[in-house]
Amino acid sequence: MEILLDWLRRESASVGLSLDEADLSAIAEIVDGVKRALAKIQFSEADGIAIPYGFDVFADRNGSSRNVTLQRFRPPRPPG
Amino acid sequence: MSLVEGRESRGPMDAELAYLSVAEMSALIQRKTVSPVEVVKAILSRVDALDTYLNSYITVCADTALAEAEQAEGEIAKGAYRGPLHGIPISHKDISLTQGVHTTAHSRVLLDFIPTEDATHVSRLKGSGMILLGKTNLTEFACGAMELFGLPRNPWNLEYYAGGSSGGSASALAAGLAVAATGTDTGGSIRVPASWCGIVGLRPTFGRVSRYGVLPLSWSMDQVGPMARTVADCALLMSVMAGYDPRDPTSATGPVPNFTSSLDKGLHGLVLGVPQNYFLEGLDPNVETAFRETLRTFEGLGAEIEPVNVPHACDLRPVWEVILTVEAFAEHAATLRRHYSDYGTKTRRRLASGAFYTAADYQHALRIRALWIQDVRSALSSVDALLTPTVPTTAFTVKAQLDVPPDCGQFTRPFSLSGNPALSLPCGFSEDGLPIGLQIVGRPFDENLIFQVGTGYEMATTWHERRAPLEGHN
Repeated sequence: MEILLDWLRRESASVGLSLDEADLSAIAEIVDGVKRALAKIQFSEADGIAIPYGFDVFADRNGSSRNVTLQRFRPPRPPG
Repeated sequence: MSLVEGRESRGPMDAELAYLSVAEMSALIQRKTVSPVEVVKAILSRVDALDTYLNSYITVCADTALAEAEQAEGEIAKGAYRGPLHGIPISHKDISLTQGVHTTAHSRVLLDFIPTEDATHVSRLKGSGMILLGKTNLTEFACGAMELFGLPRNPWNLEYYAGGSSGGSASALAAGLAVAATGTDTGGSIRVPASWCGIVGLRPTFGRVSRYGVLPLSWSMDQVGPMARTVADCALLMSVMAGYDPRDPTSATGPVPNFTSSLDKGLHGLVLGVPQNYFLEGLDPNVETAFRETLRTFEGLGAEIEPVNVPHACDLRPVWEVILTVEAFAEHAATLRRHYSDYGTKTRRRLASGAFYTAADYQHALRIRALWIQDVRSALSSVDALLTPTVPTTAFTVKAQLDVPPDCGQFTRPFSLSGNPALSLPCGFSEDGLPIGLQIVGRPFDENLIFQVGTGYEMATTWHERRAPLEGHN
């Protein structure tokens, strides 16, 4: 929680919010609780949803992420 | 000071008028048996007498409502009858823009905000001849506390909460302080108060009704819907509210059916699915008894009850919360930066929390949501509609709501995430006299079937005819 609180302290300025310590603590508690609960919802099929789009899965299939990047984003060659 | 100057309340006679359904009132107005002015005065008298206890309205438009009623009366007298909503009063949740009328969203941030235009649904209902009666109470920006105006009470027991976030609309309808109303629903904000106050409320399919002019909370889940005392009344309102709006790119371009066309088709031959997991867990015994009895009633009416499997049904609150707050922060970020301290404490903390979930959190939530949508689609491929209790419990006390509010959206949030249309209507009462709601979930854009199922059940039962025990307060 302390790590999260420190992170919130730094990030709140970057998103333009001036939060006092009471707000920061309350928000840290909310975010921590929701993140923990969200992490518990892990359906194996949900990973399947990622297959055509998930960069890491696609990269594994093709050997390395560098190659995948080249394959996927190489600009088209000019004709001839 | 009385809202209705120079006029004594007629008590029971006002109640008789105020509790008419839209359809009944409409027939009387068209035949000129009752005038819109009489209707508006009757309801304003009840607001005057009862809203001190209920707190269902933030703004009551007494003078303009009477003026609009006189205008409607004149138009109808001249033969310029516009249709079944002409001369009928309507109350809008105070999150919908109303031209020239305060729109506060129950927030100090908008305390002095008077919009210069109407939300699309407000404008359409106005165009059908409806009279704006007032703006109803809600949680701050439909997601927070009620620190500014207090919370709306439940007409069935004033020690209980009406539900949120469209609680003012539900409370007013159940108390005969409104004939028709609108609400918004992001996780159950139409259906939960409808269930707890014993009225009918529809969350339409995502995209069915324009959201232009509704102060936004969640871009991908907010929806506007009708609230009334009968299913047929919701269908009448939907006939005007639904349809494409170029000012809302998320509104659907498809044709709008006649929502009243299927109301009397009955239930014979319909297959209604009952999810066997999750949606039957943790039920209050009163809710469980009422729901089981409701299923038997459907079978008696010729419907087939089919157990269905929704394998990923579970408490999707964290999924919903991440999507909601990330999107809500995006909507509120600029205002939060400028007016942070004007928001209620609970509201601003919840909205600000949306800034601190990561892209990975949001994507994880979207993947779970995608899987859940497949589940619902699959379940609805073999049945015509799904039936669940709307809420696992009856209403909470006001004290519980103010202390640490227990969860009440376990069964409604899943269908906000999936975008399906879902209706709540009364299906019983607890031993201590609090209403219980049934949720009917349909395929996308199949509101007509939901209305058919709801009307079939409503015509065979009398729950919707009961009145909240308020007359001692009159």
